[in-house]
Amino acid sequence: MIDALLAGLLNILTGTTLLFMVLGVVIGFVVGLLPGLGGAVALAVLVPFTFDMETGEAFAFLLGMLAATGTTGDITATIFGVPGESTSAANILDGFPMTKKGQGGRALGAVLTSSAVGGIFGAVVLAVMIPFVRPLVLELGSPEFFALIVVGLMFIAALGRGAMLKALIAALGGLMLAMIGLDPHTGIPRFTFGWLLLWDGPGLVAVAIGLFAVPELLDVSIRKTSLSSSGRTDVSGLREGVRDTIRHRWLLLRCSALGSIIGILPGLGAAVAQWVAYSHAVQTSPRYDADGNERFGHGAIEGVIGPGAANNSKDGGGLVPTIVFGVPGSLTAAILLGAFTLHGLTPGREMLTTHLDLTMSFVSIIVIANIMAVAFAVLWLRPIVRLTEIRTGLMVPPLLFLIMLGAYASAIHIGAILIMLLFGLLGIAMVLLRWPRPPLVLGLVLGPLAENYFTRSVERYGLDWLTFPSVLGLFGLALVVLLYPFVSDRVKRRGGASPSSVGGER
Amino acid sequence: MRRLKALEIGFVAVLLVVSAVTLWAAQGLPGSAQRFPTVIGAAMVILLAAQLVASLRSGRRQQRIMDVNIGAGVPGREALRRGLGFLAWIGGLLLSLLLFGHVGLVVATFLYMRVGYRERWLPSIAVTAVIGGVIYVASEVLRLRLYEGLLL
Repeated sequence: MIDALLAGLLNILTGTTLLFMVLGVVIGFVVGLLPGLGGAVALAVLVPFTFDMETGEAFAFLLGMLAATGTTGDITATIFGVPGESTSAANILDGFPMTKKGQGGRALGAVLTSSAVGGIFGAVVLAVMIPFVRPLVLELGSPEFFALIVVGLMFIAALGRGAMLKALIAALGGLMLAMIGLDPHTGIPRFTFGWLLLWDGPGLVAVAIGLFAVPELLDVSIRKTSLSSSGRTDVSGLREGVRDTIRHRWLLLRCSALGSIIGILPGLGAAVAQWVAYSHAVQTSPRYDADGNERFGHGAIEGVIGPGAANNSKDGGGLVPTIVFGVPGSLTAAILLGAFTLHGLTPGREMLTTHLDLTMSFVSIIVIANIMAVAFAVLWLRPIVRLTEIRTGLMVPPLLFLIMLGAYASAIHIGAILIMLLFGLLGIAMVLLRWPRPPLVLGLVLGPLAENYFTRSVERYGLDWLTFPSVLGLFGLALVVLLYPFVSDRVKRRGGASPSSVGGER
Repeated sequence: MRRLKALEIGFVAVLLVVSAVTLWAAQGLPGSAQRFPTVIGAAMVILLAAQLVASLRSGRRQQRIMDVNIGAGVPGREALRRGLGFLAWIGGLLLSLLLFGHVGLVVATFLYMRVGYRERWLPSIAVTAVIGGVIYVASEVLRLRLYEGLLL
């Protein structure tokens, strides 16, 4: 295992791979600062540009970008009170008040350091988990993998409390979309309407860009606001923030661990991790200052460190179920899973045997990219922060151009742009009608794997596989996951509390 | 709110019809090709029927999910005008791409900044030069075969 880790590290440090990783970090840095283009959308747009890259180069590029977006999204949340992406939203609570008090540099120092440590922690979790889960995965067969996918979908559906049925329908809708194209077993075209482009399916990239980028750009173009209108760009005092982070090292490590664990749980990841970490920071730190005033929400440094660490540590954790079981922990992991398929990689056994070097290189990529992102932030913070002053008029048209180019590049066909726009309209409708979008993409990504495992199970075992104890156990877990919110809401109602609604976005 | 509910019911009804047609069409597929579409299609029809009933019965209670709140803070009529303008420009960009290829898309992007947003000449030209650079890198470095358009 250590040999594979070293081989993976060597692969990154040689040839063009390092260059592609640096390019990914730079792009991720800029994307993280801009609103409307989160890590998931940027990943979807950039996946087609990796077709001609070597597999190692492609993932150095993509993971480098992803690591950097997590870090820089926190910068805008802290300085302007506007998160570059939804996963950075919790940093507004205390980071932005610190900026308003003239401690923006200190807050940035804390958030950048905690992001770097969190990212490295997540990578270590990935490296440590793989030797433990490898024997387990090698024992699993098609029925168990199919049941695991069902569990993953239930996790995602359960997140849409208040809209659980919609989340479940969206996930199944994604599975249905995945059926479009050539049947993997018989080679017969299904639901293609005689359109050659659809033989390969509607395309994850076009669907993801349409569903996520178009509604976000519509929102930006309606509001017509630039980021900088909400704050100022005082970024002095970084070192003090670094010292704060070292002082709160145990909180940093606990929140990093929380982020990794949440990243591992399918469907929970991303946006949830930072809020759980924030709650933990609130619960474990002094709530009042010497004058008896509430600290949290008014610029408590612990409220910056906790979410910053969890936001980056979730990425390494999220890769564990993606690589090992083919069940993505978040939307970004789902798109990354799509990138695996595009590069001919199959999650599970293959990633832990034939491609173990590549899998372990992900660990090194995450570590190096996180350090690089923080180094870039410290060196170029002032000029890069000016990017957030870009007006809507100079931001929306080029972004529309980029998403059209990205969709076209995914299939080298003009039809891919039409598919992207069609899903853009669907995305707008889903946002307006409060339908969660991530389950649709997760269903689309999991569709081919689910069908493959399902068909293999039926052909090999008939319907007997449905009675395997392992499968029954996993289906039972799926049922528990699905029913838990109903039961907990009922218990809360009996206790007099109103049921909560938690979002399912990213 | 009433309009939103009608939209919701219409949306679910369309999805239900699409799913039912998919399920029916799947029966015409041979052998194993129909197995998975049948299972998922049937589940989809059942869940959508349940959702349709839920949508018909729901009152003014709105489900809260953490998502973009499109155009929050902008008055309804103005938001609609800006939203339709955005969609119209997307149509324009698509048309210029279809007719004149990626070169047309670059020009249309410039026009969107200059005419649609009334940006000044210099920043519009600078941003257009950057996206022109992106097109150059995509075609010359990444060897992406660009679309030439119907008229070029």
